[in-house]
Amino acid sequence: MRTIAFLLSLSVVLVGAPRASAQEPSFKDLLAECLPGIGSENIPDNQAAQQRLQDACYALGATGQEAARADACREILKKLSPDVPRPARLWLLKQVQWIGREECVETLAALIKDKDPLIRDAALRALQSNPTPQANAQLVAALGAASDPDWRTALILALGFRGESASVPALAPLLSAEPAIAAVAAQSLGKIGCEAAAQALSAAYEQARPELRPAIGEAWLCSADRLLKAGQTADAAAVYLRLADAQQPRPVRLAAMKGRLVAAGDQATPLVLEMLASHDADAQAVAGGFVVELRGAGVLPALSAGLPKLPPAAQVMVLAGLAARGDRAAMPLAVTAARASQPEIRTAGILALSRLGDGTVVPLLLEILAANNEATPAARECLERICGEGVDEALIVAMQSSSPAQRKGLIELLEKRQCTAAVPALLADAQTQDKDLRPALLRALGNLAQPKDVPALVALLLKTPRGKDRDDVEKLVMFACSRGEDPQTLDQPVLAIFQPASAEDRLALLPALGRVGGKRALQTVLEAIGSSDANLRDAGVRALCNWPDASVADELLKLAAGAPDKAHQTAALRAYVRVISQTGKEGDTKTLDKFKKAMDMAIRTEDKKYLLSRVSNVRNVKTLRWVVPYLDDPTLATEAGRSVVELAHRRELMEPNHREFTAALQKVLEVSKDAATLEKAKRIMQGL
Amino acid sequence: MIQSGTLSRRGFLTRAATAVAAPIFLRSSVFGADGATPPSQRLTLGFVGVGKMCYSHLCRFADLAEVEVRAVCDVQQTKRQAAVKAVEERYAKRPGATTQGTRLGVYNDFRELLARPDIDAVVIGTPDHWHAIVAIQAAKAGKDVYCEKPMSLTIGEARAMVNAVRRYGRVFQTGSQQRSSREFRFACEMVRSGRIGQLTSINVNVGRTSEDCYLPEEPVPAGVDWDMWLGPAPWRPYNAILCPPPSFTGFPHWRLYRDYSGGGMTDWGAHHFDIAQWGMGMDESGPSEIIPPDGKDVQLLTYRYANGVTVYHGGGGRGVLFHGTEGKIEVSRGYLQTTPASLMQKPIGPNEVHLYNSPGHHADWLRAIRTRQRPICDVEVGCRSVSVCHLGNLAYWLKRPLKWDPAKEQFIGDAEANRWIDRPRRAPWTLA
Repeated sequence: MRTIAFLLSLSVVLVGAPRASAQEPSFKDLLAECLPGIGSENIPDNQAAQQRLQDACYALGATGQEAARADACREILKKLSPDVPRPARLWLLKQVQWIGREECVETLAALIKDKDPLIRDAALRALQSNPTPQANAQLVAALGAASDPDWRTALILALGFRGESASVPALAPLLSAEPAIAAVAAQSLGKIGCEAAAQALSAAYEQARPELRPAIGEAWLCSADRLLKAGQTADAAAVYLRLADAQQPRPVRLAAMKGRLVAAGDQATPLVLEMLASHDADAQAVAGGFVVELRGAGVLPALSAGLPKLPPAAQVMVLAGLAARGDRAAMPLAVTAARASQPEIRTAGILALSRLGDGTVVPLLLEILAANNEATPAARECLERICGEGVDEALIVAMQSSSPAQRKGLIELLEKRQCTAAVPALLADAQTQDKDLRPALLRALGNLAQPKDVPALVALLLKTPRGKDRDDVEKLVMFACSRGEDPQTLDQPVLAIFQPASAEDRLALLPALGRVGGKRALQTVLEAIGSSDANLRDAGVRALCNWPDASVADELLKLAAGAPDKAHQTAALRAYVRVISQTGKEGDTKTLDKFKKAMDMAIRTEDKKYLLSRVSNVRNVKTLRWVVPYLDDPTLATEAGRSVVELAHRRELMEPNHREFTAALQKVLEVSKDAATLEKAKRIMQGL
Repeated sequence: MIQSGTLSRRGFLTRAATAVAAPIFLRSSVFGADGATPPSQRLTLGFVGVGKMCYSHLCRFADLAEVEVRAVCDVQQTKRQAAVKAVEERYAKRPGATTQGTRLGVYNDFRELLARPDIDAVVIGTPDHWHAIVAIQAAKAGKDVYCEKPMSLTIGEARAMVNAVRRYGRVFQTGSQQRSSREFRFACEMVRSGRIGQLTSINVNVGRTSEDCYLPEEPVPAGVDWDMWLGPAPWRPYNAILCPPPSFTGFPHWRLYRDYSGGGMTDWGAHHFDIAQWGMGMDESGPSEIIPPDGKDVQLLTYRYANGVTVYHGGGGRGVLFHGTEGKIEVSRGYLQTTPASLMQKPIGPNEVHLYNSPGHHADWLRAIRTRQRPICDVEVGCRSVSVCHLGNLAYWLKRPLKWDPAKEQFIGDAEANRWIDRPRRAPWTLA
């Protein structure tokens, strides 16, 4: 009957649905079948058998398998005799550690006396994990009979692990044993933590030798913690008070001071202030960490009143604690601190404002930022993080009214805050020619502009003369469009402006449209390229050469091969190389073939150089083989050498082709004139 | 040859007496005698477990003027040597040195490092099975702690770490540093501000669970204290996969094995499940049900939360993928995408949810030490996030649905599953 129950339950647990029970062996049969493998010293043989049995044992631990579990354990116990190979005994003990109960206790109690230390340890683990009171009784009995100090230690720790009050009579007398034993007995009594354990520990503490006081004191405190948890606050508080004085060992005192604060409950604030004012670093540390845990209505007023009287280090802790509590009512305290004369208090006040402050503190923070003193880094950090109402608005206003010298910093700040609302204000400055300000402005706009900002960006573009400045604005349009919702319609904001635009504006807009890309944009660009208007054609080619991806590779190749204008051919070839190099990262040899074709078409040396500098994106050993001959061409050796080094950086590529790479790097060292390439090649060669 | 591996307390004292190496003398000027950083403002640090991850922490902290590295500890001699070299090289480059010396302690046993009263805080980069013991001992010794993720090997350890940190009033930063990155914070702020409507589900893409270790025995190399490497874990013979030689430059694979780690579930889970927890606002709670895949109706490990949100282990997207009634947010390192795209074009407004904005994971910890406030990945955060990972592992291992009470941190109606909340440790190691 039990066997049937076992079979059914096991099949349910292991595969989630009943199986034909006739196909499943009983646990007894399974054990017999697995035992030779389990006992093997040969690892591949024993692993499968051990895991198979373990799966069955774990399944038997499920609720409702009690009878089958006990039967299985009894079968296991039969195989724990000394004639069974040691690996099997150890493995079986490991199973009963997790599923054994009262049926195992007697056998395990015998095995903890085994001559073999590993069997003894495994049996102890199994007995220690056995949840029955009988197991505890056997451990207590074993402790009474043990004489070896290491074994006694192991047994005492096992009793502590179990935490049963029944062990107290056996452990309490050991508090007066030799120091090593007394210390572990104290630890175990602390873990048990019942009233009897607390009494034993308190009695022992008063008479304890100095070297034992830390262990016994900490254990006594553990008992006090349990008293506190059980609602016996006054009893616990008395223990904490007794052990919190300066004469106590440091660990005892730390825990006792913390205990006093916890036990004080809603009344802890005066005690926190007293400890913070004490000039005792340990007391300050414990109290400072407790500020965040203080409860009750009067906490903030009490801390506000007490704060100025505290030493600076303690004020820093309180301010940080107030920030961690997140109560914005504490903002005035932080503002006062941010104006303090002592640097550490000022810094703490500023940092507290990052969690407590709002837009009203922005002027103060900007003032500190501008002062450029030791508090400035904290002010900058605070301004980057502060998240209260009105902060962004205050910063935008400050940026608009700032001097050119301050403006750059404020722009960077708004960018770091991801303040997209600042874009219109930033655009107002976008035509600046200030060499310091312009890069910061463009970077901020690039990071913050959204599709909704495209009309304003296009207006800016149309006002910007052709050249680098306009290129910069084209990129801003591209970044703004790239943040569109639908990847298929990223070109929509520009097209919406392009279509009704004048012919002149269309010429200016086409290159920007090319940077954005997209199917409808491509149609527009190809129409321009096919136009009879040379200016429109030129703008179309520039747009196609700006394309962000390889979807236009074929169109670019056509232009490179057959455009009537040589300049268009050259531009298209370089654009072609740029876009195909984006697709080669997986080591696609088809991409390498495209590079080879482009090299055949390249006439100018600079184009060949450009091509060689991009080909290392095709991470394939065939790329290396193609590049190496160019090392013999003095005009191309530098770029070819760079590509060899780039390819060699790819460990997954280099390791299987070690010889080829070694020869190629050697050649680079011989022919390259580029110091950086030579240095990199040397380093790689040294690592080979 | 298998042998017993218990370490006695007397053994510790013997080890302490025969400490690993003579202290390295460093010039005091490199720590501010030149006036750059006043000694009163310097924090003194010790590093426990200076393998690949912690070595990078060591180098970064050693570069900071406000910090002085005073001690390093590892059970591998080569790692200790590399750590010393890294510190020496950095401090040698600092200007204005004088001949007056200070000590860089070098230890095999972390207890010796923790016993030094001149160390304010420790950085723990040991394998996972050591985190809780070292962190609790550090808190008890009055040290603040930066502990690598995943915070613990078991749920019980994580809770014990919280208790110790709170008890001794310490500052604890869990190394789940994604919370200090803008893209993750912004993603969670958007979720919590309702930009994707009501949150319905989350896909969390991390590796798989850990398993039993079947590595063969190999001779213990010179300079490796194998017994100390194992520490609280059951004894097993040495294998270089677990504790690799210095020629191995990757992350060691002990994290694949159950006695030392929860595998990819806890390794990357301590990052991405942590972000899921943050996005849900579950920093002091967890799931109420964990359902393992059954190959039929349940294809992915599934967590159900009391707020109605379902979290899946895997199932698409990069990193963490939040689904709401009105959109999606996908976030991973250096990557953030929203549907609709416009969700992320607008900064978080004054009336939306603003989450803790860390100045950087290390900087946040150092600042918290000075102010005594909880850092961004406070111990409770680390505890709850790693517990989600452990719960998933337990469902995988036990192959049955589990009901969880996140307030009591107990399984409901499954006594045998509750036995997995913590594990026995090899004596003399204990969480006390």
